[in-house]
Amino acid sequence: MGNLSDIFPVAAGNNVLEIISGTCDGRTITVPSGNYTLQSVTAATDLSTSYVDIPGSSITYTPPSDAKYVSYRFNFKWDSKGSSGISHFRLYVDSTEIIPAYSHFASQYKGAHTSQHGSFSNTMEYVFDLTVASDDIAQGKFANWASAKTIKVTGREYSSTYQAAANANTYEDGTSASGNEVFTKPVLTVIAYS
Amino acid sequence: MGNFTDFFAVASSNNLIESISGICDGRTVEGISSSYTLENVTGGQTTNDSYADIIGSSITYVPPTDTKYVHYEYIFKFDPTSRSGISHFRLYVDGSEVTAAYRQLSSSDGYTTSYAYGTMQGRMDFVFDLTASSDDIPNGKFSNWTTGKTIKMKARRYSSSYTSSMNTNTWMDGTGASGDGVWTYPLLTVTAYS
Repeated sequence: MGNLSDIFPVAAGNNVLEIISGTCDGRTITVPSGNYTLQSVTAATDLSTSYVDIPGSSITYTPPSDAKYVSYRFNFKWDSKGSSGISHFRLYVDSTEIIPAYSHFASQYKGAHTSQHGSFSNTMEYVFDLTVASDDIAQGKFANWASAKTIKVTGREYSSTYQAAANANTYEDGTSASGNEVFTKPVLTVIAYS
Repeated sequence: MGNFTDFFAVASSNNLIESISGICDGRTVEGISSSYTLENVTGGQTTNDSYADIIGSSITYVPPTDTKYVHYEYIFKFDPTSRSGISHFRLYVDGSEVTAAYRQLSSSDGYTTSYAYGTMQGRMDFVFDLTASSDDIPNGKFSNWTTGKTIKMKARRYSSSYTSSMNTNTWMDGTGASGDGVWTYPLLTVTAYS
């Protein structure tokens, strides 16, 4: 016997419509709005002085028809590779930057450009508002997000003196990291709310 | 009289099955099919040169029927106490390491060894994939996780020159931390998705 609600639908018990959450290893996740394949992160990414896409951060997402808010959260390891590792991170939907999501990450400068040990768990997070009357994409507001849009994070370092890497580890067990421990797979979570 | 849905199950309206979340103070959290007692953290924990279990990080979890993904997230205060406090964190399921989750955390190396002021949120974050056709535990993939498995973390420091502790605060209100301010409870969240 099936569920009664297969015949007589019931109202949702909460305002969560769907959650896509996964370690970025190429897995495909099925949710009510469709199938989503996360990027497969297999290495650390050294930043440069130009913006590059952060591996693992990209997802092409179509919210359910009754979604009012879409939460995007990208958890990744940040690792200083030179001095304090000042670096800059921006969030995009398709080709438009979400300006309020900009973040700079850095560790403390020690007074010399050496011993760049800073290594943190960092997050790029934003909640898009799908209830507005007209688009203001630069502020993360959408009037009609009914088709697929690509959300992603880009990053760069301050200069060649202040270097950093994404999804990276420098040390392991009292020495330099080696093998699979030189990188950490990030976790991407997208939640649609009604 | 019970609820109508006690007799006629209601289909889930989204892919969230359950979320077990709590401060690690020994509380018992009720899931939909099991209850879970979180560990009781009563103070800070220093790292040493060998790996030790992180108190608060352990939970023996039974995923509900139809679970496809289990998100483990452990958030704690990380406090370097000498130099940059370089430390290493590993994730285990029933004694087998999930190597893809490895991460190093550290602050900046200080101007002198005593300037270990950096302190930050530490996070272990991994989404186990229960849809695999065969176990690949180093990558967090399981083919038949239907009974209790213990998820936990271990940590060590780089060396005795780079010391650190977890769940601790060094400073408080412009002076050294004291009383209840010397430590902070960690937060453990385990979420099951269909």
